Amino acid sequence: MSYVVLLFLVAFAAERAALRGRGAWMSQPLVYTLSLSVYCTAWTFYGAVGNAARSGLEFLTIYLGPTIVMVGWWWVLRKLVRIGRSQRITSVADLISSRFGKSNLLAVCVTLLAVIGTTPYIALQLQSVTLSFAAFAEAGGLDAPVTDSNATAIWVASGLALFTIVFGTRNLDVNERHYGVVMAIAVEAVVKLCALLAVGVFVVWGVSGGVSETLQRIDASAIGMAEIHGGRWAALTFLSGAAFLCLPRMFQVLVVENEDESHLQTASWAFPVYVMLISLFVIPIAVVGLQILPEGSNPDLFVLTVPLSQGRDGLAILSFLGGFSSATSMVIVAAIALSTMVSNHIVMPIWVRVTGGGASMSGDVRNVVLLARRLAIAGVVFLGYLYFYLSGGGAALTSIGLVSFAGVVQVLPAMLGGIFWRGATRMGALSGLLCGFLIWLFTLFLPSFAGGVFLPDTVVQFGLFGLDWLRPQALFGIEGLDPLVHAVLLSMSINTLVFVLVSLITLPSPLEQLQGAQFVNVYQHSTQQKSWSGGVAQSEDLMVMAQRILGASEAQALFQSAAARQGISGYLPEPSEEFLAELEREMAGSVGAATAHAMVGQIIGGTPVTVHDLMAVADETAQMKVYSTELEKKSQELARTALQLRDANTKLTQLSVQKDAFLSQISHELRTPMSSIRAFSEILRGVEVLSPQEQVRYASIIQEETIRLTRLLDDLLDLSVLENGQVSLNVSTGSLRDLLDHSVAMARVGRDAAVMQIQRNIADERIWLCTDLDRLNQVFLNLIVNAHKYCDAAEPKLQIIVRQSAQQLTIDFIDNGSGISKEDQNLIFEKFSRIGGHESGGAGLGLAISREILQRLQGDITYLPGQNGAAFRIRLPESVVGGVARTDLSSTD
Amino acid sequence: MMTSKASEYVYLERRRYRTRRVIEALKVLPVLGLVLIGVPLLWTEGVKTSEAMIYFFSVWMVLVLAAIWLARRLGASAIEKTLETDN
Repeated sequence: MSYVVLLFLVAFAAERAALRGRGAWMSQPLVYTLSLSVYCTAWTFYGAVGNAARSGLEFLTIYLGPTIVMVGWWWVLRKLVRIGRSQRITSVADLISSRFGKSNLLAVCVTLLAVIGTTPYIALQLQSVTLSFAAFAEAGGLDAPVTDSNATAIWVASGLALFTIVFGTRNLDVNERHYGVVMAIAVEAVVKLCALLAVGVFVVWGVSGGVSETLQRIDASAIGMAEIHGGRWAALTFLSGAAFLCLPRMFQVLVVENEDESHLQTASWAFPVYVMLISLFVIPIAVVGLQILPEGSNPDLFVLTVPLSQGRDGLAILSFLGGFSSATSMVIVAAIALSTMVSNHIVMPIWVRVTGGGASMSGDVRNVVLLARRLAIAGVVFLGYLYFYLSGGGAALTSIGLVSFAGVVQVLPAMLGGIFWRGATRMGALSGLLCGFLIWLFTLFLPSFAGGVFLPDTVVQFGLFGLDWLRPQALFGIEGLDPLVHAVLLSMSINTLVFVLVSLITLPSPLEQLQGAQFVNVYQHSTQQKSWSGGVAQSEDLMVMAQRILGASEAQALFQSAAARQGISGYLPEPSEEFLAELEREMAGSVGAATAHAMVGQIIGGTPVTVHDLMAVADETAQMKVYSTELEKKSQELARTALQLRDANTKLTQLSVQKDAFLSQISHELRTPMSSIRAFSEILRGVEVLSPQEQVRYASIIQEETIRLTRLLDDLLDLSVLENGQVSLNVSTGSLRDLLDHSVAMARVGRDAAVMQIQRNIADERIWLCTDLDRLNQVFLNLIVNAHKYCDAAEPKLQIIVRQSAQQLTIDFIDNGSGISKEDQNLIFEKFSRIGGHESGGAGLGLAISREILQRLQGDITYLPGQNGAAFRIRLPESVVGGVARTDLSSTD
Repeated sequence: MMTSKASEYVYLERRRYRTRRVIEALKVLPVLGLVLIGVPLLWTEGVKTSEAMIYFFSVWMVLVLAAIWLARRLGASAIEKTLETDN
């Protein structure tokens, strides 16, 4: 017998291995539906009948709950699947933690809860296998004695762990899909169903002789009257429906392994059909078993023992296989789901922290992950065995399964709240979870260990610390309830209450809020998954965008070359991965990597933008803004500098022109006397016969010219000193009258005094001056001499008029000549300008020097028109006037 | 997508209307199921197991058939359509 069993085992293994290769017809809704049957474990196969034999129709609740959930797929499952796909959720723990701000603490809690909650269920599978094996072997009359059930369990557990490790951790799929395992589960689903149906058919038509007879039997049996306890029914229906969503293995096949949302649509009716068929013959089998088999036989094994008792060995083998496969499929899928959670949320974070993080998906990390998975699988299965060992293996299968359900269901409030309520927070989920878990632990889990292993009987009877209201099965004085109902009610209501209250009080972090929006509003953020090739339409959009950023010609060239590489003529390539990556790279050069990625992703519609992406884009934009502001400032500065340079250049050019003019003038001025000197010296030297008068005359001319030259050079030097501002003013004090006396006297040197008459008003000249008197004298001298030289009246007369006001002091020099014509008025103050040619003997610098001097003295000199003669006005600021004028007694003339 | 022809617009509207009603029926179905399953809880007098069994499986069949019918009415494209107005 056992050889046959082993053979079938091998066949199964081979089948699974072969099926892993075929991928084409795996994405069928049927496969998806069948994979959901992993909900029906050995509990279903054996325990349903056992439950029916004990409690009648109650077992139906375990399947009615999931039926309602599937039929109502539009409410919850649709959203769960959509979220799972768009957020790439890999497990229940991943869902919860990701929703609440990617909190690893939550993930760890959920993982631990899942492991603790699933352990009893694994133990249950082991128990059913060992029991069925024992029954089979006993009936079959093996040569070898019936082995110890513990040993059997160890063997089975090890075999399962090995199988799961080998087939479940071959490679690491990013989406955590395990195609081979799903196929194997689907096949086992068929086997399960067939086996149960076969036994059922046998029982109804083979043993009872037809439907009506079966019905009569049922009514005549011990469970003939339907006992429906409202509270228990409601609680069990709720429990099974909730567990359908929360069980790690169910989440794995429902959400993680889902290929296509439309499969859900098919499964919504196909799965209820499946469970309906499974439950169809449970009551008949139970009833027949009760009637046929001896008292005290384990009703859990009726499915096996009834055919055995009737000598239908083939059927019995089929039945055994059905039971075996249902047990093993549960353990496999649960081990995979749990190991994923353990390795992703417990092992990897620790490993990353220990090794300092920053590791990309190199070979090292992959190996560590695989190792962690394998160890986790082995650990989980071993834990299940441990529970089996400690629980004594005698408790009814039913209760263990329900204990497990009640534990795993504690995740429900956080799950439903997370996907429907944006106000759910991490703290709320954590606290709700913890409260529910503790209550479950106390009211169901610990008491389930028979013989007071963890919870002494005294506590069960009299309550924790002897407090009556802390009795595990009657917390808060709620008595009279079935323990399971009591536990479920209390744990779920307190869990939900705490969850809601704490969520209302606490504030979610920004990441939580973002994740909340993404989860709750998932329909707005995602579409039904499409393959990457969006087609030509998307390429066109990409082209428009690329042209705007890269420039028309560059974008077109890029696209065209990409299209050519893909073998497409024209400008629009298919938006393949490589092309998109290339486009992103090109655009990153212009707008930055994060922006490029976001823009491409938006058009292709595949990648949801993560918070990090957004922050990177914002950073880049801020940087660019700062950069462009700086650029603007710099360019403004440059413009200003250019303007200044232009002005300076213009000035320099003007100055250069002026300098050239000045130099040419000077050389002209110098040349004239020089040529005279040269000429006359040559005459003196060369000509032999010269009269003494001629000699004296020529020598005097030379002397005059040299004097003239010297005067000119002196004046030039003076002027240049004045212009450069290098003159130092000798400030002294003196009376204006004295100064004018002095000037007049000096001017008369060498000239005929009676030629010009000078009119002065002595009274007005009683002004005390504090300024550079020598320079002022120079100016007066210049004006008086000019008057001498240029006044062409018959009787030349010079008036010197002094006027003093609050702001200034004016001294006018007015002669009675013909004055200076309008055009010349502008020129007289320029260097080398002379009226009437060169005969007057000056260099033409006098007025220029006078003007410079007066400017240094903070005054000015101007020509006064309309005075019937040449008139010059000297203006001095009031500051040169100082003190009280002294009366002086010098004579006037 | 809006078209200029009034008749096409009306036609599209009707289809959307129907799809909306189907979705509403889908939402009601599980509630109906719960109610139907809850009925036995209210049976006061004793019921024979066989009768109860027949009741439950009939309800099951009804639910399944309704789900099949609604799923077919919804069609494969309905999920992709932007009828994602609910949360």
